[in-house]
Amino acid sequence: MNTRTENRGLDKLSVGFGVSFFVASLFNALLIITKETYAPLKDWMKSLSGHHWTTHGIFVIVLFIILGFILSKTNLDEKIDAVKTSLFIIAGTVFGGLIIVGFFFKHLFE
Amino acid sequence: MFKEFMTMPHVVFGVFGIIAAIWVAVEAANSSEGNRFRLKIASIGTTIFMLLSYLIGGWWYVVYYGVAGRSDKNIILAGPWKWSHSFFMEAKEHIFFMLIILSIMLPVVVFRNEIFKDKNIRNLTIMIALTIAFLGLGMEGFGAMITKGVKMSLLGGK
Repeated sequence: MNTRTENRGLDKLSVGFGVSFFVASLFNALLIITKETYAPLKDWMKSLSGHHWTTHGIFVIVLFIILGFILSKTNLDEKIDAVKTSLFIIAGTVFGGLIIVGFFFKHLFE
Repeated sequence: MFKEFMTMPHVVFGVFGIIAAIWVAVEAANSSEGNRFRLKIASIGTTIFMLLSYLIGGWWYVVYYGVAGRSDKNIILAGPWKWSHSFFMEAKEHIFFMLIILSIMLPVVVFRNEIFKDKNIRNLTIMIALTIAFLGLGMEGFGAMITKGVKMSLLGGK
């Protein structure tokens, strides 16, 4: 019979990636606003890979992975448990999603 | 023909990814030592299917969708549903990044924690899986609006 009620801590890598998701999600949303309102940035991103969207994706995914590993080397897991990690992911999804949808919302009325 | 056919794997792998994510949520909700293997398979499946959807969809988007000439983007922008590109495609192509990094994170949580031994970690796993499924369904809906935008242009807005 397996017990399902032990309180075990979330491992360091999961905590690191949970917080990293929040940061990467906001970075993703803010990078859209910046590149869409500042053409030289969009042109520079395009020059790196041939398409600004390709570069955008590489930036977001690489940031998420590198930051996740860096944060997992800290003692963040002593302060952030599974519940707080869940909140980081919910907040990252909601705020990241709302910023993106909000930024393009005006186009619905074109 | 190749170009038209290659729009399909993006959607199909996305649906497989959604199904795998829901499978993760179900396995996690009923987790025990006995279903750890299935949980791991489902989480890896979610990542692989979502990455395939991203890579194939991204390739099609970069190579065909927005190029000069008679591309889907230009057809949409010449028609009555311009917002199917300027809102739905623009939002979709960037919200997808959130979906991808969550899909990368899911197996990390599944492989490195004993899900069945802690309620909060179990809930975290279920929440990530359901968020992937929710965002995935949103992508499917946004994709449908983009396709409809092309159709509206070709039909002359009727």
